[in-house]
Amino acid sequence: MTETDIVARTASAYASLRARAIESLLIEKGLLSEGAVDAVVSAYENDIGPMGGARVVARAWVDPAFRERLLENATAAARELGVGGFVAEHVLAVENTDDVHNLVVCTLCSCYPWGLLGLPPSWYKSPEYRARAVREPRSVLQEFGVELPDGVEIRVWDSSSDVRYLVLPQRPTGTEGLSEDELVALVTRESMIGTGLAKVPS
Amino acid sequence: MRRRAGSGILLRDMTVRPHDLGGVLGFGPVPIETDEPVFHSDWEGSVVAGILSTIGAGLYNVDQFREAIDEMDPFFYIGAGYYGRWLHTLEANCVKVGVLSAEEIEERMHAVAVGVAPQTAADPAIADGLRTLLREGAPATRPLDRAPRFAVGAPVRGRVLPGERHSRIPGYAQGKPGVVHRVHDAYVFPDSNRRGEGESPEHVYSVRFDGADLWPDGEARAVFIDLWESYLEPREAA
Repeated sequence: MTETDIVARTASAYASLRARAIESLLIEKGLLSEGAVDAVVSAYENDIGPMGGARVVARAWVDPAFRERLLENATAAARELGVGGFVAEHVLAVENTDDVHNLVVCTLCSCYPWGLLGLPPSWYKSPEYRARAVREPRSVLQEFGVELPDGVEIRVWDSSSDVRYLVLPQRPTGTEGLSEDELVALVTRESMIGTGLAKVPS
Repeated sequence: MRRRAGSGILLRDMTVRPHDLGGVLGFGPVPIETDEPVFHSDWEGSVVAGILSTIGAGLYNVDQFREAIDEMDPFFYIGAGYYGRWLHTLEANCVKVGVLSAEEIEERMHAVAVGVAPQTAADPAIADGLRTLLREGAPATRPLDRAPRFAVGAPVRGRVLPGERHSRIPGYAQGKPGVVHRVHDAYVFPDSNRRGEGESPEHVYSVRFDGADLWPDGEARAVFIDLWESYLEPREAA
């Protein structure tokens, strides 16, 4: 282990003890319950995650009318598929094209469309991503293995308000024969934030 | 302890607004963890549930939740990590409103550590309330009978707010020229809401900033930032 690892483990052990003490006190005061903690953990481990957003994207790829509704009002369009809810009350979809690539960040905290994608991944919450995505997005994308042609315009969306952003990635070529369910499997979490592209079928 | 790259920058630029990270130089590669779990430790889910239930109970609001995070010491802010910051604001807000005291938290930590913390029967209504919240959400839009001040295409400038520690306009946009790209609905205004002075809804605008106006060395063609009306002033078109 490096020194950094040791410090991180020590901090987590301390946070764990403090969090359990606060949880115990909040339960005692009638403000929390073990069932409530289990409900939240279970919701984000099992029910709310990138698969929700992936279903929205795949539907937009196969249904032009749905795509239009998504770009007009993403909150309502996602709701048609039963996707949304908490921290997805106000969603805008931004579409990638041959000429434009969209990238989402929250420089001030880590705002993220929970209801569509679940809880944010560690890299999204890191100071490295938050500091650099607005200033050097092309270099950040390279770290994710994404090389964009020079002519592509990079648009960065800093989620500084209650509006949340969903990137509508480009449908990979060669997927004309795939079913909607097969397309869902190609839509990665990163492709819906803009740090990745949709997968190409193997 | 080995210092993180960029700590010198942190000392200079982040003393006042440690959360205001956009464009800060000195950070290294983005740490990408493949196949990471939703939660890395059990306590993280407990903190999320605790935040949702205490805000849901009306003890404090989401802007006060953010305010306590933004007030953290810069090194603590970075070192605590995301859920460490959430734990901090949960405790700070509960102590501030008098639901918890620092002394009882210390005592309970000792009790938990030696395994003698009391068990209390669970109230099923709390779990049901959180499930409903996750399913239905909690919109931040509010009705407003005032027309938006700015229209799509309007040339604007981000206001310079040096004394505002918690405003939701990033430092890198303050004083910078932009153009209104889209007019959003009216939303709760964080600056009044965190002070407990009411929601005072305002229109929010998606403002397009030219990358070259933000940083001469920047790579983005455009950065779009969502800004409340009070954060903007009109400017003459160039």
